Amino acid sequence: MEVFKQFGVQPILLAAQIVNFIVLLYLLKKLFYKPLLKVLEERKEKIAQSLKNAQEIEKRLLEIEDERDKKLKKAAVEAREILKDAGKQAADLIEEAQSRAEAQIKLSLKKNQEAMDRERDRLHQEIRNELAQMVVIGLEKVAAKIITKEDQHKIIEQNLKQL
Amino acid sequence: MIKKNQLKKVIEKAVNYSFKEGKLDEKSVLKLVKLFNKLPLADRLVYLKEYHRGLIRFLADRALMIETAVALDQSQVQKIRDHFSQEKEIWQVDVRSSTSLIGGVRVTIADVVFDQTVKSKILQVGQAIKG
Repeated sequence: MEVFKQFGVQPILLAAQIVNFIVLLYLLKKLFYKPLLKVLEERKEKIAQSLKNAQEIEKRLLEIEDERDKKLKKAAVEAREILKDAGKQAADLIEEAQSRAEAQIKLSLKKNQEAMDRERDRLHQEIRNELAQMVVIGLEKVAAKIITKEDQHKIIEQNLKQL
Repeated sequence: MIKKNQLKKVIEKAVNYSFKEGKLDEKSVLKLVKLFNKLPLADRLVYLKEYHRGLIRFLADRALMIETAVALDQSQVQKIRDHFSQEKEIWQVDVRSSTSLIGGVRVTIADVVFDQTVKSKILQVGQAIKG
């Protein structure tokens, strides 16, 4: 108590000050700090929720990006496969067309060869026929000139011997 | 409907009956024609046509045709006739001369042809060239 007196502190005033302070503290807590803290808490929750949402969105974005990358890779693989298949199909088509063309050319050549052979044979036969006719006519004329009556009788005699 | 085998047999008998002693017997022919005339019209025509053909064929089978480029003497004709009469009955000999044969002799009796003419030899050469 002496100490209070030495420093000029009046206990009653101090007690009143303390009571005032406590009442003020209570009032402040009740009327000001609590709503403020509530608002701050709500704000904090909102921020946390926003952060959480942002994280979710980021995560989702990453997933989407990852999915997109996967899809792009898959599409690239499929595109390569399609191109490969298309190339193979094109090669097959070209090969088939070539084979068909070769077969047609061979058939055409064969037909032409056969037609040429037939034509050659026909011409040969025609030449032979012409030649035979010429030989027959020539021999008939020559024989008619060179065979005398005497020869004819000799021939007949020979024929009769052959009977 | 006339059966072919029956027709053939009847005509063969009729043709044989129509010739007697190497000659065509007119009485037999008339008798057969009368007989055929008794048949129905359709059959009658067929029988008469076949009978006519049979007679011609019968005579042709017994006709010897000799073709040469120059005329043959009697002995040559006789020799040919004697040779062919060994195989076939010969009733008639027809000798013809044709310069187109060039030389040699061709004898025909029925469906048998003995061709030794120069013309046929030349034609054989032509056939050989033709292949």
